Amino acid sequence: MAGTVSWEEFLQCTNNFLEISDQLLDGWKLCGRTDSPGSAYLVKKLVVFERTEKESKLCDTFEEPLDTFLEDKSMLENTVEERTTWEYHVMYNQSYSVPTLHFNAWRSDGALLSLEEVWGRALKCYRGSLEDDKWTVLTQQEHPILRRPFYTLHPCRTAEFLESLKEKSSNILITWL
Amino acid sequence: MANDREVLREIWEGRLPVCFQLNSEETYSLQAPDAYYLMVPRLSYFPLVTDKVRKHFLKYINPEKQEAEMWLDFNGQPLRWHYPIGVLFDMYASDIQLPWNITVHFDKFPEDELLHCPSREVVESHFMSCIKEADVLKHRSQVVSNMQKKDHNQLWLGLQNDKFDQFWAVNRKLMEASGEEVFKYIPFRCYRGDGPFVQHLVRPVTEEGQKKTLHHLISEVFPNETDLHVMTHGIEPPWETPLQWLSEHLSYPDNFLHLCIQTS
Repeated sequence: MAGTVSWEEFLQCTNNFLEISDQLLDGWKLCGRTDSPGSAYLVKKLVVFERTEKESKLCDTFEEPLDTFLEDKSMLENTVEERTTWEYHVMYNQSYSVPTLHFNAWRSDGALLSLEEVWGRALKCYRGSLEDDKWTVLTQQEHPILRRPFYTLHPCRTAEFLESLKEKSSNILITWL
Repeated sequence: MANDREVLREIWEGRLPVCFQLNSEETYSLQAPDAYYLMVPRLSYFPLVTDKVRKHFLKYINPEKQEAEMWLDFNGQPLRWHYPIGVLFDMYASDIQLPWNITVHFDKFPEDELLHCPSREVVESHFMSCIKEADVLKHRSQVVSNMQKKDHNQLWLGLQNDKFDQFWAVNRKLMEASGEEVFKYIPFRCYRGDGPFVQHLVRPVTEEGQKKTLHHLISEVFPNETDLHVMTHGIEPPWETPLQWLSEHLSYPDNFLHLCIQTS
């Protein structure tokens, strides 16, 4: 079937990928077992700081003395810094014979980002063309090994995309990601 | 081709008696609500059959939580709504006495264990992605992708509205081996205890072209293990059942065989 990758190719690509990641200090690791197809996966964790617009808080600060209020510069700024933690997993899907991307993102209070919030942040470049298919492209699914909920890019789209890349790329994982 | 229509009908009509009760910590009203009893279809998914359950309990919880997502637990275990109801029952069967006592929650959604289900579209999306995956395994995805959107809708509506004929009018195409005698691989998942489900690539025939049986599948997936019991739809199929027949007749509407494995 076009656009597919075998388990062995996937493993080769991951080894190559990890070498490059280590050189660049990009932080990817391999987890799981390599003896059984689909049981090994790449993991990367990342903390991202974003500035987002803050709603005005003037109305509820009059209990504080005015000079403390003026000293606190963050009250005067319009933005707040949010810390989000992202975790990416690249797995091999045996049914479709393609790699799949799973990820989660948490706010600083530990709460999981909602699907809407993820769409808002992560896929600005795709939003136009994929908006209609939103529910089928990116969905929450059970991680095949860890059994926890993860946001997943649907594998059948991956095969289409990979097919267009195959001739041009020596390491399909790198190009796809 | 799924020819044993009676078997298909019996499987379709499987029902389970459930007693839903509100988590006592969430009762906001002075009077505790009555339990809600319901017969649920084994082949469906909880979010499709619990609208009335939600409506019944909503008036007894904190009025500020009326928009909260409902979730269910059995024996302290959150129930994965994306598994068909019958699969969940068979998984916990040894701990269940009928009616199945399930606790209803609106608070403290266990995000690290359960997928969110804010709407029926989410259930549909999950159901259709299982159908597509089964198609990739059986026919290299030629059948589903050649179907029109209205056929996909008919599968979903047939399941939602419990319409056997409507569902099977389309599903029979997915149960044909399309030119070959058998499917390429058998779509199945094995559940055992609390671990992740097991899914391997298994062909319905041997290299020599002999039909493989349930026994072959279990030996391939769990080699060197004896004394295993396989349950699906509340029954233990005979070990000699051919895999192709099993897949055509005992799959769930998502086109997967869901097998619960127990050790005696």
